[in-house]
Amino acid sequence: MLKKEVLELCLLQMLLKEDQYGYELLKRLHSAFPDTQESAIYALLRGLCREGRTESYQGRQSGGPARKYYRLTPAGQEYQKQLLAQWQSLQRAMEELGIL
Amino acid sequence: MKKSSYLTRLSRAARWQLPAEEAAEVIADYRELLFCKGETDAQLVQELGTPWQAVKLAGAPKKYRGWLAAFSLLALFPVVMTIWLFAREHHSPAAACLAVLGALFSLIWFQAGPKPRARQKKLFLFLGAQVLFLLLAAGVFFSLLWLVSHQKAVPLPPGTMGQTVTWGFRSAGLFSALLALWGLAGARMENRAWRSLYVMGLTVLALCLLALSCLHSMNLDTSAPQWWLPYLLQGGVTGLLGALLTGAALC
Repeated sequence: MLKKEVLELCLLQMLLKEDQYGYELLKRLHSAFPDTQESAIYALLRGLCREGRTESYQGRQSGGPARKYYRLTPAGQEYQKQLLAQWQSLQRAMEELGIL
Repeated sequence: MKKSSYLTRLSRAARWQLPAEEAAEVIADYRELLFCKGETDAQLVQELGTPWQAVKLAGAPKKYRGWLAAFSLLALFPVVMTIWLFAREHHSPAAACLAVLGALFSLIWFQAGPKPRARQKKLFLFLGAQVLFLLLAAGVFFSLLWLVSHQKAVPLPPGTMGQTVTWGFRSAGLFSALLALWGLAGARMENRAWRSLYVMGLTVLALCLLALSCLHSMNLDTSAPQWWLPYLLQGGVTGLLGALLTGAALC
C-alpha cells in the first residue's frame, strides 16, 4: 500500500463523516502530509471523482466563486472499506515484524 | 508569482494539456482554490507546484500523449511543405495531396472540440491576412505570367526578378505555415473554428509551392498554346478544395 492509496484512504475517510468543501479537504490533508503538494492531493480527489467514488456539487457562495463540495458515493464507500482493510493488514504485518 | 498570473498560466496550460471540458473544470477548481488561499504570493508555487505541473497532475497522461501525437502529425504537414518551399524540388502535386490530407485529418480530429460561441474577431483577422497574402501572391504570379507569355519586358533584370518572386512566395508560404501552426494551437485551446486557419494555411502553402514549381520549371514551352492550363487546373482545384474545407472547418 503506497502513499497514493494512503492519501486516498484519508480523503475517503474524511468524506465518510460528512460532505466537505474541496479547499478544506486539501488544507487538512496538506497539513497532515506537508511534503505533498496540494495539487497532488487535488489530482487524487479529481481521480476519485472521475472513477465515480466521490461526486461533487455546488454549495453556498460566500462572495467569491461558488463552493464545490464533495460527497462519497456507494462505490466510494466500498473502496474506502477495501483500502482500510489493506491498511489494517499492512499494519498487522508490520507489527508482526516488529517494525511498528 | 501573483495569484492572477498563476491562474492565467494555469489556464493556458490546462487548455493546452486537457480536453476543453476537463480544462474548464480544472480552471474553475483552481480559481476557487486560489480565492481561498491567504498565503503570500511567493508560497503559491511551493504549495501548489508550477501551473504546468499542477495541470499535468490533474489530467490523464494517456489522453495528453494522444493529443501530442495528433499535434505532431498535424504539424508535420506544414513543416514538410515548408521544407519543400526552400528545396530545389517543390513537389507541388504531392503538396496538394498533403494539404488535403492534413485538412481532412484536422476536420476529423477537432470535430469533437467546442463550438465557437461568440464572433471570432481575432480568427477572422488572421484569415483575412491569409487571403490578402494569397491575393497579393496570385497578383504577382499572374502579372509575371502575363509578362512572360506576351514577351514584355519585366520591370527588373530577369535574375533579380526571379529571386524577388521566389523569396516572395517563400515568405508567403512560411507565414502561412506559422499561421497554420497557430491555428492548430487555437483549435485546441480556443474552439474548433480555429482549424480553418490551419486548413487555409495548408492551402496557401500548396499554392505557393505550385507557383514556385511553375516559375522554376525548365520545361515551360510558352510558345505552346495554353501551356499554363495544367498549372491553372491544379491551382484551381487546390484553391477550390481549400476554400471548401476552410468553410467546413469554420462550422
